[in-house]
Amino acid sequence: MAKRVVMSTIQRTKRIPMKTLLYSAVVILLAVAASIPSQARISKDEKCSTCHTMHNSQAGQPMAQTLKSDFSGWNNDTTPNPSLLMYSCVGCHTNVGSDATIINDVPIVFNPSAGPDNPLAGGNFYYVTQNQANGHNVTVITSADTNFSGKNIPGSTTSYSGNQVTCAGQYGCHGNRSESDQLDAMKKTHHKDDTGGITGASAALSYRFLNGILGTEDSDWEQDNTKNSHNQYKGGTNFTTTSTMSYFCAQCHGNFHSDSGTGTASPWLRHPTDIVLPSVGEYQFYNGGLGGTGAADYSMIAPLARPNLTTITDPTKINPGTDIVMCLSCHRVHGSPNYKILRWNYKDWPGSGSNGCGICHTSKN
Amino acid sequence: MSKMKKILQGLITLLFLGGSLAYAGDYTNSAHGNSTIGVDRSSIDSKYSAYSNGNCAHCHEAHASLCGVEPEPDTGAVRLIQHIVC
Repeated sequence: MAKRVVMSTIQRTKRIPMKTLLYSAVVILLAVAASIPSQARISKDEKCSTCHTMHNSQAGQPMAQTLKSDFSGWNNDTTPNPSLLMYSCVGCHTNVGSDATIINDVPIVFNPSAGPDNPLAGGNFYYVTQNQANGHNVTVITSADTNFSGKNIPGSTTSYSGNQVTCAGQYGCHGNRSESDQLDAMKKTHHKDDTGGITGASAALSYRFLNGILGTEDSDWEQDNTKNSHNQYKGGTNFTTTSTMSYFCAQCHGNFHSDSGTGTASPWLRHPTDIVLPSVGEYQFYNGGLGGTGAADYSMIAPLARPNLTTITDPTKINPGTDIVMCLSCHRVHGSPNYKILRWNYKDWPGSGSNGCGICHTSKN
Repeated sequence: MSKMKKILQGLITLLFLGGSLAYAGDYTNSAHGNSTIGVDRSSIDSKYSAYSNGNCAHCHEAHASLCGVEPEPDTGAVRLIQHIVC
């Protein structure tokens, strides 16, 4: 009896035409493909109402919010924001309640109550509220840096006093820098499908929305601070590659990234960026490496950029002679506990502080 | 006797190894790098009072710019960062 059932099944299977089988396979494949979600910086599971308000009105109260001047909470704002947004840039990326730096997949760059235990790669604006030399002095968060009153932007011939730096737009870093309004500058960025990769073709498809810049974005913004998962930054071997992180910084701080500003070879005029870490001398022993072009562990204290983001053989390693010194090898961007937004406490060394310089300058300990 | 010699050699080696741990590195052992009596350029430009004695910044200007201007001595031209004379 059992044998008859088996035989019957085999016979029925044999009777299914090949065309039907093929058709079924194609349908299944298409269904699977359709179920793979497109990917933008904002998760498709995120509710629109987290960021947007249709009418800036709910139960007779405005929905738009502005940060209180003492950063203790929020004020209702009867003036609606462009793009139906409830908050400004700072509003969405601030956490007034705790030191958490990722909330519902939103990276937090400003924790007004205290410096967070686990800051993100760019650092935290808390520190610029404590010392104006410890961060970029972004509007809303703090006032213009009085150290620069009547002087030029560091590394520039342009006066600082004209316009305070903003998060985005013409006087900021993120988004389309030809737009004067910050929110206009960020249009079509957060929702853009970037499954095709960071190409630099637009602000939306650029590393962290820094228009034209390439890189690989760590999914937790380096909150876990480990060499096993971190951002990868694009570097160049001269000052003309416009997709590098250092080129981006140089759009304001140009003298720190140019032939005339730094020179082209040792002895340098200023500390070079977008220059290959030599595989000779003290540099070959980067972060405890064994010398020559041999790989050393990637340092989260003094990271290096990559000449080619698609040919990194081991993201946890650095190769002297290949990888590249950049602005972010020494500095964070938003803010840090250290003078001049450095990644380590340089100014107090050697009295106290720490010698992060020694990661590259291994004989200067 | 030979065994005693080896033990003695071992002890001397350990002594040297321990000694290297007790000291800081080459630079911080130099006259310039001493955190108490090391180089200090704050008398030439007060901006350098922010930096510890012996800090690299007293001789090497990373960007030839502090607070938007080149620190003293400023001759109007950027000097080689390897040789800024205090």
